[in-house]
Amino acid sequence: MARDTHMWQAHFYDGQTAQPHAVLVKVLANGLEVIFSDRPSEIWAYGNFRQTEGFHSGELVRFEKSDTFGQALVIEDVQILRVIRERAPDSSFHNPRLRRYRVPLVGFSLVSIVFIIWLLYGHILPLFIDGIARIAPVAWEESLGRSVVAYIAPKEDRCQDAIYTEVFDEIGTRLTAPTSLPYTFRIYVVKNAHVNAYALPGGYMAITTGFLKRVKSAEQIAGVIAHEMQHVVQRHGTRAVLREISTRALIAAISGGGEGLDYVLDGAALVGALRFSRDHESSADIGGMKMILDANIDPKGMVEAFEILLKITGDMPDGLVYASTHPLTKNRILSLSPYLDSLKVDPIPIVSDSTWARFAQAIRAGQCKRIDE
Amino acid sequence: MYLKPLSRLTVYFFLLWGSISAQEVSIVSQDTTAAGRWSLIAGTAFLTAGERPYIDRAGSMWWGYQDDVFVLKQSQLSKITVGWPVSAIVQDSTGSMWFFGHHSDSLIAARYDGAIREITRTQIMRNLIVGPPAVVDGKGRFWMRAKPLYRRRSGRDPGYGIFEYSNGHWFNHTNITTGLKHDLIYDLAVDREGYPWAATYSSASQYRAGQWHNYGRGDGLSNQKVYRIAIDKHGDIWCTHGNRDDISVYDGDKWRVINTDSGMPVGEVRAALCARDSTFWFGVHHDDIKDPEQSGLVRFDGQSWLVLTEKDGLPGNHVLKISELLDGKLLLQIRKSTSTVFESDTPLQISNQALVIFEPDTTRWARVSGHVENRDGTATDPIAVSLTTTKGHVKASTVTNAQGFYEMRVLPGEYRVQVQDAWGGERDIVVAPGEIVSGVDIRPFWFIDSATFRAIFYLVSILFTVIILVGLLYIVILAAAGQPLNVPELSEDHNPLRLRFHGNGSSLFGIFAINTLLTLLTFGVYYFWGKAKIRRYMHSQTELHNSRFSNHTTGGELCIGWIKAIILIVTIVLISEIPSFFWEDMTHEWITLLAFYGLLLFVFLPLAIVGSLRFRLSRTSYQGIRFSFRGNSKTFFKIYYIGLLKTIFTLGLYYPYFETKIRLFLTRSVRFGTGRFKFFGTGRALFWHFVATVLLTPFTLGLCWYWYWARKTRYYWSCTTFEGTSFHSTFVGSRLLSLKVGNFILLVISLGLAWPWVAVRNNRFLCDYLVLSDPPDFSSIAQDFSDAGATGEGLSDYLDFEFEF
Repeated sequence: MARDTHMWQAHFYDGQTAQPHAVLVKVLANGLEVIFSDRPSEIWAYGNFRQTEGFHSGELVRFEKSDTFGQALVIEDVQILRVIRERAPDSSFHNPRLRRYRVPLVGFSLVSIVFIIWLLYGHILPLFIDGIARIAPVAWEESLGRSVVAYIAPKEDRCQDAIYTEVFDEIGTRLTAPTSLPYTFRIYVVKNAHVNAYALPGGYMAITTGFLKRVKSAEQIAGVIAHEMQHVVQRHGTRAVLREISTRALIAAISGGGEGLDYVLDGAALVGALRFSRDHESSADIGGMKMILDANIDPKGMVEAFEILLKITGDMPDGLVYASTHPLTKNRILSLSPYLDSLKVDPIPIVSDSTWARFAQAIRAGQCKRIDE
Repeated sequence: MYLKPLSRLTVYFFLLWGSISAQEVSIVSQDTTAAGRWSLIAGTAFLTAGERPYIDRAGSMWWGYQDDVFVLKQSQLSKITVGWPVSAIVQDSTGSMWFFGHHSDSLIAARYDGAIREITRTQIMRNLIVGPPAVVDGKGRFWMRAKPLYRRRSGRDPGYGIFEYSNGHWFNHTNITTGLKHDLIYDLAVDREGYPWAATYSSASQYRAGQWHNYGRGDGLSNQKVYRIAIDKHGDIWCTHGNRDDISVYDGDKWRVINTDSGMPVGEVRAALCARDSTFWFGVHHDDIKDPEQSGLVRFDGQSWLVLTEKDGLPGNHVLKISELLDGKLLLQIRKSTSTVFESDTPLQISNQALVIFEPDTTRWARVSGHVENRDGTATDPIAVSLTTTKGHVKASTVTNAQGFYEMRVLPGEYRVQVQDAWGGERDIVVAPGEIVSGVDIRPFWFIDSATFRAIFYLVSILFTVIILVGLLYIVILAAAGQPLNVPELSEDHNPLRLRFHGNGSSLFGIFAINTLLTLLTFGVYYFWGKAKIRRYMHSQTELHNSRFSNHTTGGELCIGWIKAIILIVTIVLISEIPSFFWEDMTHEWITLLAFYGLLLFVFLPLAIVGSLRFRLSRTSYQGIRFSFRGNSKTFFKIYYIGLLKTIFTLGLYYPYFETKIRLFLTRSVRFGTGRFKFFGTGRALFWHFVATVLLTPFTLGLCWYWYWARKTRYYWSCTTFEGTSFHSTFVGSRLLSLKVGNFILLVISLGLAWPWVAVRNNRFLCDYLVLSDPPDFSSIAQDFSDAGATGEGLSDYLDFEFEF
């Protein structure tokens, strides 16, 4: 065969100087014969060198000696690999014939990636988060909540007036009395004009004076508190933290150094997280309503509280549901209305009218006793 | 009234008990208003609160009280003594009345056609008795509500389902037995095809082909709790929900919702009736609306709505039940909580309920019609129009038709026509009834009509598409040409050496796809091997003077480097948590943040710069000779700190000097084998350009920075030599800008997936614009390898920071 005697043009680098040497290479059964112009030829035995480049089209074939640092052979013609495979079937160099399978392989990879991501993000991750959230100790959640509570309820903004404490203690006691929850609920009144209420893992809660100014009864406050308590009990905050961490890890694995790709994935993850957030809100609504009913509190209060919210924020267009952390307020009110009639006995007021009057008076007056005063 | 003696005889003959007496119904008070005539009636019988009388086809009203049944025919009241409590009354298709009730432990069904004939007496089961309403379906079966014999003392009524009575047998339909959605039943009706319908706590249910078909919110009802069902002349099912929820209408195929947007004046009605003349009457329940002017009786004639309240003669504002007598008269059951008027000697009501006969007199009603149009004179889309009193209470309402016209029936008075504009605000005009209203403009002044809007939208999208297509075309041309157009030539070149980049995006994309799959399958471990693979590819595609560069990074090294970096960072984070043991409040947070970012800026960044450079250079070779980095880290730290502080204190003006000093140090530390790089640039050459760029930033949207970067690159390379070889960069700001803009468009339209092509473009750009004056004397360069760990590399990976050299 002509190939037996075929000499391959190659460059040889001796690893000592940067000077390249033009050489000829002959493929033998036991190795490569490197023929120099100025000195005797060398045999590179198979197993004594490895291929480091030449796996992709446009790449030159590069062999590196394993025992001598820096010695390398670079051959432009990729066909040498085929000849080596013929001569020495045991040598495990790259087979250029397999390159034609690369396109279907890439296609298969893309499909599998999409499938794996769907499996991981849509199914395995939620299971994992659920499992962890279920076994996470309350103490751990409390420390998690404690580390953030200063941000949502800064010490200098907490109002500690006796009347607030009295009403909120009453609400907390009423709501938790029929339950046996492992959490200690701490409710902070925060001086802030915004209408908002928050819950953190471990039972920390904050409610703004802006919201309290707009409510008309302790039942309405209880509705909001019950909702927030459900966030704590159902460990929504803890889940959100876990979800954030695991999604980040997933994105890092997918984007793998691709610039720009991770921004797109971040966006997708955000939309995904919002969906969970909306689900959490709805289930906190229902759970909260059950707490209210168990405590024999007038369930109208909770719905009224949402109506207050609706009045202030207005509702967003239906299409924007996917860009929101909360379900449409109108829908939330609708989903609670079947419970309105289901209280078995006459509701028991949470606080007396006179207490409520004092509370409302203090709120209207903007009374706020800071801890350091 | 007088009854035929025969019938009385028959009664006595067939039954041992039972007697009929007759008496005139007295009219307690009468009032005629523009709405019609209101008659408050009274008699000797009681209509129990919560019970609904049955109106037969002749317009007579029947109801049971204690052991008697009372009949009100015309204005005469008669009593039929039955002897057991009759709970449900219904007329069958032959005209006979049927009485259902119970006595001791039996359910009784009896027919009455002048005499009472007991049909069946059945043992009570599960303590259930019957209750109103009762209906007869198309097959002659009787349907009525099931009630408990003993009322629960407290708690919510769980519901007991429906009784079916046919062929002398009783059957209790419940959720368990026949799949009714809920056992709490509010109303029963029979549609025009003869199928029974039930209004339950959580569905409107139709019994067809042996099973209940339950319709809920998912089917298009506005609420699943259905309070009353009325059936109109087309056979459509009208459901009221009370509780704030509109009306749901079923046309046999789909549900639609009628609410204030579709012209309803009040959002909440409960009682419902479709009269023989197809007029709908609705009653507002006192639980739903407290405002008396928003409650009362609501009439819908298929086109417009009218609200009648106490001001229009209605004796009370809470209409609990509506029934139709003959001659278009209505019988209303009304609650008026504060009234003493009805407590006359023998009122026809108990507690605070009253019976009222209402004869509407439409001849005195006024018509208000008009036209709602946009400012340009075109008709608006159908829109709710209402007539309100001067105090803002809605008295009548409707929707405009396709041509923008509306017409409403209303009682004479002074009203305003109110239209809700598209933005939720209200715009109104005061008009007298009967006057034609036109020229109502419901749009804000900046409103664009839909045709113009569509035109603008199309124009913008076409423009956008063209931009993207041009961008794509440009990129395709660039990619096809293999290099940016018009590479400037060196004028003084004698034997210039060019770098060439041979890589292509599709190969890189293939590597990337397989890497990602393996990374996912190995839970992220393969990430490092993939990264090494990409680096090897990029280097092996870079050519200088007929030789390729080589990269010798292995995944294992990268992995170990990453782990070391993580350990370092975790340690730092833990250390920065120490302050939290000493300060309980926010102070520790600030100290932690300060410590963390301080460490990041002063320790990690320089560490990462030097570390990653040291590692990368040591893993790069050319013609068999490795590069290396021999700079002293301490020296670098010193330069870095001093430069950083000077930059901070000069408000950034020192930055070009700082940058150049770092470049100087780094370039001088690079070796290729034994060969050295030299650098002799100073910051002064860039300073004024830097200042000018900063000043121009606001006016050029920051684009001037591309020209600065290009200049900097040109300057730095012109100051760099290697063993007698000088470098020359032909970077131009405009080219750099078009490269980056192209990259941006590529990334955006591919959602980031085009990054391999972007990387190839970047590398090709770098190679194309760098020229070496002449080849160095490679024979004089000997191997001088210096190994380095990958910790700095891992750190720079963590900090998401790439140092380009």
